[in-house]
Amino acid sequence: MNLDFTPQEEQFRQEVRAWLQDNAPREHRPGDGEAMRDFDIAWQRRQYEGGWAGIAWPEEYGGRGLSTIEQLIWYQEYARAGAPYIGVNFVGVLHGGPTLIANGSEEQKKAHLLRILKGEEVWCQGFSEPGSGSDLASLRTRAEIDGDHLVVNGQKIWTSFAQWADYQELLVRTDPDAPKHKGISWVICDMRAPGVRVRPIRTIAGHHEYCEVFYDDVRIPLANVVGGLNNGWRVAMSTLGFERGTGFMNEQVRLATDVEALIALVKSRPALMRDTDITRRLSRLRAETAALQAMTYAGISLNERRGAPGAEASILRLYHGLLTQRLGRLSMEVLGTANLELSDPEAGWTGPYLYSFSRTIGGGTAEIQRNIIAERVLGLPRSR
Amino acid sequence: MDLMPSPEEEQIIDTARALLSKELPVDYLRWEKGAAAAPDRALLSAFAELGWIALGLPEDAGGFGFGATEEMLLFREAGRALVTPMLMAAVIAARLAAARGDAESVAALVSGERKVGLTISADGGEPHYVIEGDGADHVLLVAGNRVALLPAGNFGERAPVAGVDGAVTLERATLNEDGAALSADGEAARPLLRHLSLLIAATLVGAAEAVRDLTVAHASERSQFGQKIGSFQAVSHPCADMAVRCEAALSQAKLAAIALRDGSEDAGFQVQAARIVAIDAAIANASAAIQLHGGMGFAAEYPIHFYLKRAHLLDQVGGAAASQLDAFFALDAL
Repeated sequence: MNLDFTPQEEQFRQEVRAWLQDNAPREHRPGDGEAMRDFDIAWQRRQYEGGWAGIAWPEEYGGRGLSTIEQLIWYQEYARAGAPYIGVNFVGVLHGGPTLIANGSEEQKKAHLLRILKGEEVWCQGFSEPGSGSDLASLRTRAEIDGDHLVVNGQKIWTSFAQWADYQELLVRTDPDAPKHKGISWVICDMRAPGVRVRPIRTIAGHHEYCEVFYDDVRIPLANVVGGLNNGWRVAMSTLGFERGTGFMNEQVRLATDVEALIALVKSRPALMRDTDITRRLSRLRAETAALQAMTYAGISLNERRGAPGAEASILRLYHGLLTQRLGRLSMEVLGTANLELSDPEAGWTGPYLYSFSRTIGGGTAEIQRNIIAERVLGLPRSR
Repeated sequence: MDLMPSPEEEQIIDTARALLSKELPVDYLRWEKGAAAAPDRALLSAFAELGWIALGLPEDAGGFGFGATEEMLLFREAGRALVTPMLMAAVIAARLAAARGDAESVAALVSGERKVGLTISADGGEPHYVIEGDGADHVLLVAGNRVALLPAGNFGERAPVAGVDGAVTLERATLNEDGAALSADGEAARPLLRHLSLLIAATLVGAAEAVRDLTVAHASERSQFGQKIGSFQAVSHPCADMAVRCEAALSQAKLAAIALRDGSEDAGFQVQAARIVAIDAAIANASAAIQLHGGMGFAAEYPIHFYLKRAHLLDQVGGAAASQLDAFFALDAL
């Protein structure tokens, strides 16, 4: 066991640090609307031009072809530099793109990967439906084959950034007669295709992050099916593996920065320093945040040996969600009356506090993560 | 960067696990005859022969030159098997002797010839509680910012008490003579206290894992309402939480062990974090395990309560959770 970075990795860190120092946006990231989208896209573009987009993606698709360790170094320096949240590029860069790399055809990879890295394509995720949340495989959005197209009818919900997206990773039922996990396909949906309608939904944090999406005879080429017709459940599990595994590495690294910011705030106020309930809870959170970083390292070490994130990713996802919520709750106590003023979801304290409730819902609820841990890590009998 | 054990480290884990599961199966029969006759004490010489006390000492100090990582992995196994804290006391005592250049004491300690008990001292002073003192000729005193190795005879008015952890013996005692030949204070004691905290964290990781495994096995076998109880989320979800706490505590203990071995600037920070996370994991997991075992969990003849009690015992060694949290909060950010 070691925490040594190779000379090449150290060199890489120095380059990242220098580049971020000169290039990370200093201005405030807008929390909503077109201004937010334009900001996120411009920042993605700048990272690409600097040679920092897709660090662990293959070189032939515009990436750097480096390992998850370099990716980790990037996020460590990213957090250190206070660089902004990835925003609308989350789905494309962190799980849609990786899913295409793992499961897509050559044509699909050529059509999308480079454009995702350049900030030319924003992606969203069409998995959940009004009747299919935790029981994702029960989804009913139908796709019927008509010549060389699928014709899609149905509805998706909780689709983050659908109003800004160009493409969507969409799960549809292509065989209604097959067992529920075997009749699903993962398709690339053009969000500008006729029959796609998007209605933004406001979150409890006050912004319009997610949407309902309606499909009315939307025609999608069969060539857009990823990983084979009726094989979508397996592809979706790989997507969720990326989302739960490496997708939140940046936020895991960032949590430590936020915890230290709250500790510094408490240390600057003598009245709070005398409140051992606050200081001890914060101290425990600090220790657990250190453990989260250690778990991130352990997870990467395991992935490096095994090649892909496993069910253990659910442990990290759950732990991170719970710690983020504890930080939010503590911050509301520390802030006092200042907590009456709402901040952006990604800046200040009240916005992130409210946003933290999504951390144990999105990407599989805490309950689903516990099911996965119980069944696939501990080998307990299946829950109902 | 790699937090997976190396082949060499794997070998230490496998050897320890094989020996301990054979010689010390976690079973209530172990303590039928009382803690003083427990088989783990009788095995101390065998552990010494295997090199477990000398494992992490530098070769020029009479050790095997392995690092804190190997020791951490070893004590995780010892924690699973509820091995007597005398092993931990001997390892720290040998480090103290090596730091003081006392080769004779090092040799007596690493050979297992000199047996060491461990003290817990209320607020660094009286009364002193001596753990396993009846089977020891020396006692490791851990009080405030001081670590010392004293002949057992230096303690007086020794009175056996019924301890919370019935798997070890406990005495109340006063410290009569404190002319310790082997003593470290303040800055000199810091690396020893840090090392002790790492071993405590590692032991508690093993305890947290042991009760997780016992509970998963129970939930996979026991049926109620016509189903294995592990299929009920009211049972499986607390088991999942146990797994999360184990993963957090183990990962942090590994990171802390590496930082300590490498002499990193953040070693103190990481070790203290490891201890805080591990004590929480051990107590929370053992508590959940008692609940999930129902009536069996509350029965003394079933082993789970020993893990809960061991966690509370070790929590008090060198300063309990609240003082650990206060000290950790006072540290500067990394």
